[in-house]
Formats: sequence, structure tokens, C-alpha cells
Amino acid sequence: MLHDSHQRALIIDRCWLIYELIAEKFQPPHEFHIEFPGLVEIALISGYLQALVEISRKRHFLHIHEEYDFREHRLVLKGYSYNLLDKSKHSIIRADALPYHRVDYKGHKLSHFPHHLHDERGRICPFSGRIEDFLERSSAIIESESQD
Amino acid sequence: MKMSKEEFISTVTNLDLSADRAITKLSQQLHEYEEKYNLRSEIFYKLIVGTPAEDTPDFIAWAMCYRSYFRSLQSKFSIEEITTGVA
Repeated sequence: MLHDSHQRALIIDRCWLIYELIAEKFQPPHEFHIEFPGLVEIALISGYLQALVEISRKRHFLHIHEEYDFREHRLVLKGYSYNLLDKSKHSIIRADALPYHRVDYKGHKLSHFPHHLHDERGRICPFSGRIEDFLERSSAIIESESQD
Repeated sequence: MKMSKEEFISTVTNLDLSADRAITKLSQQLHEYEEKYNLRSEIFYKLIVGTPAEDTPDFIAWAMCYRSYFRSLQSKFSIEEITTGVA
């Protein structure tokens, strides 16, 4: 797909949102600010943003994947995977929108199906699909671990 | 040091977009998945994607990477066709 200028602007806007959220909410290293534009370049060509960012002194990482599509001049997420990783790069929580879970671990219908989150115990939880909410939850986990 | 939105937009709009660079990067990632799982990407895509087995972080990312690799190839050839005047 050759992205037109409007589509490129939408991808840039989305990448800015992600960049700003990470920069505001966490403590990414200096390299993040240098290297992130290079990731945007790949997203502008391929429609796929991937970022692995160290976000805390305790060496937590965010691994973000987003695949973009366009409908009626709007950017939509064709797929995504958001991961909070520990220092060994093991998943702490993760979220995606694959349609293989219809209920949460309590047996309730997922409120924003197909969006769901795998929590610290690997249980299926409701998830809005918004990266802002994933980062908020990640931030809370990191904060609670730093108080231990 | 965090960029302002203006700096960010200026930086990324001045990038020399290289389809070759994107293709190389995605190709490297596909190769890493293939090595890790001892499985070619096209076989992975046919066997795993669209089944519940896809619901692991690596497999979700692998599938996105695979689709994006082909989109980038398409993009590269679209650009070349435009620049060489091929319909």
C-alpha cells in the first residue's frame, strides 16, 4: 500500500500520541527520543509500528505493535499487541483484539469484545482497546512494584 | 529530551522514507521468528493465523510483521512504477 499524504498524516498523528504517552507517563531513556522517528519511518512505509521501550528504573519494558488500516479516511487498528514486560522480557500483562475470547475470567461477556487483556495471572479481563488505558494500568503496576 | 509536537512532526515529515530500509528491517524480524520457531513465515501464516494458537505475543507480532512486509514490498514497487512510468 502506498500511503497518501492524508494517510501519512494520520499515521504520524497516531505515532505522536504513542510517543507523547510514553514520554509523559514513564521514564524512557534518551535513546527513545532519538530512535522513535526511525520507527515512525517504518510505520509510514509498512503501516506497522513496533516499539520496544525501557520505561522504568526497574527495567520494565513496553512492547507495542500496531498495524494500521484506513476506512473512510480514518485510521483504524487492523491489529495490535500491547505488552508490559519485566526485566527478563517476560510478559506481565498484555492486550490484543484477537477474537478467541468472548468472556472474562469471571464468565462475564467482554465489554469491548474482541478487545481483552491478559492480566498478571494470565486471566482474561475486559479491556477498552485504548492504548491510554493499557499504559495507565502498566503505570499502576510499576508504581505498586516500586513501593514493595 | 521529549520533542514537542511541532518538532516531532517536523522530524518525521523530513524523513527520507526508504521502502528498502523498511523491507530490510521487517525481513530481519521475520528471519528471527523463523529461526526461533524453526518455521518459515508462509507456513506459520497458513497454519497458525486465524486459529486460537495465534493468541501469543510472538505470533500476533509475527502475523503483523508478515502482512506488513508484503505491504512494504507493494509500496516499493508502486513507487518504482510511478517513477519509471509503468502502469
